[in-house]
Amino acid sequence: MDNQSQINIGKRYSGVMNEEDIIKKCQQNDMGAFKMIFEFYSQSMMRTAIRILRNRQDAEDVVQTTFLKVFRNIKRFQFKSRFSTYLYRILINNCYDSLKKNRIQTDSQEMETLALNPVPGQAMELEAAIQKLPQRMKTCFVLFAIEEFKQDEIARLLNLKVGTVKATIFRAKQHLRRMLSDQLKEGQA
Amino acid sequence: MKCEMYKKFQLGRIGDREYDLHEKACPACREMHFQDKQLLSAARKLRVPVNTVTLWDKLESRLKAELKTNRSNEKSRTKLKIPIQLGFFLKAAAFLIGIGLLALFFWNLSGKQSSGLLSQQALNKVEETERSYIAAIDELEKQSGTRLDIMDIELSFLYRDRLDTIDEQIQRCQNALKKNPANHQVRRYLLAALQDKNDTLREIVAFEPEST
Repeated sequence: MDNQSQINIGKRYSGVMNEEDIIKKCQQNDMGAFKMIFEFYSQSMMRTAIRILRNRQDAEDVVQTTFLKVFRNIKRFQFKSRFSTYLYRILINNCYDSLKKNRIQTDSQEMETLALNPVPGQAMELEAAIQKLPQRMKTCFVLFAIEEFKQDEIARLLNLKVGTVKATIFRAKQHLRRMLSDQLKEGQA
Repeated sequence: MKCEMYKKFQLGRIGDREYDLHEKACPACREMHFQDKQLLSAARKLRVPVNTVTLWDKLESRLKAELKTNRSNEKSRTKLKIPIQLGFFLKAAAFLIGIGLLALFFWNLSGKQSSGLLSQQALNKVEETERSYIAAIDELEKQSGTRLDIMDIELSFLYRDRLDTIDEQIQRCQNALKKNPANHQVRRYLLAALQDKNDTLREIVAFEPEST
């Protein structure tokens, strides 16, 4: 998530409130504040969940469960870490739990077309290539390249060392370069 | 052999300046860098909007219902005027009574020649102990859900596997007891499994994450 999220979330909704104020309102069970948090994060969370789970319905369930868990326990959030890290950590854990539950089903599934809006040609090939990456590599790449999380933040939310995240993202790019070599060469020419 | 400088740069082993100088003289690294830029720029285009309006509607109705239930629970709690500390002492007392009953049960068993079946009186006591365990487990399960979510994925999987195994053991004992409720061996296995689950859940609840 970009550095500006703490400022943006306030600007976007009230002009005065920052993320901390909004979370404090959530801690007082303010439904409007819950909605602000939902609107700010839900799109990115849905995209991430769909890419991990390859299924829109499962992704919706996981995102809904994540928000419910977070809102139920938001009073315990003490601002020791970034809210986005806390939120995404629960999201990723829930996604992995869902994958574990549906392991047999998912393994036998054919590559499912992402239930996202259509994207232009080259990007669609990239989307298919991303889906072929191993699970952890895919999660790291999606968070870094698409959702624009910083590598140290990914490390915190996946409980990995920053070096491991850097190496994983590098390997992901290496795999993607190989899979999309023709398209990338065309672009270069 | 391929040049490793771009990899070193990406992994943070060499600085920007050193790499920039190298890239000017190395077409292989330049190509990889250019292709990565292309990849990242294409990846940004995958940040497409997703419709989440119906999701909020579902979430909002569930949140409102939960808030309503919480408020009514708080009201009934205020009516009873039971202080939080008293609640804790009651739970602790129930736990100690459970342990006491269990000890008494095993002491009685060891003093008698066992027929393999429990008397009605002993059976009642064991069932009471089981109920107190199950109540404590229900309470702990409510608290443990969030802890499992915020802990390390591997650790969370280990705990979940352990809980699944214990649940299976409990289920097997309960199935066996349907046919023969007074079988003291099965009752003993069931109590051990309940105690194991209770201890595991306590461990999970006591877990303190570093970053949250």
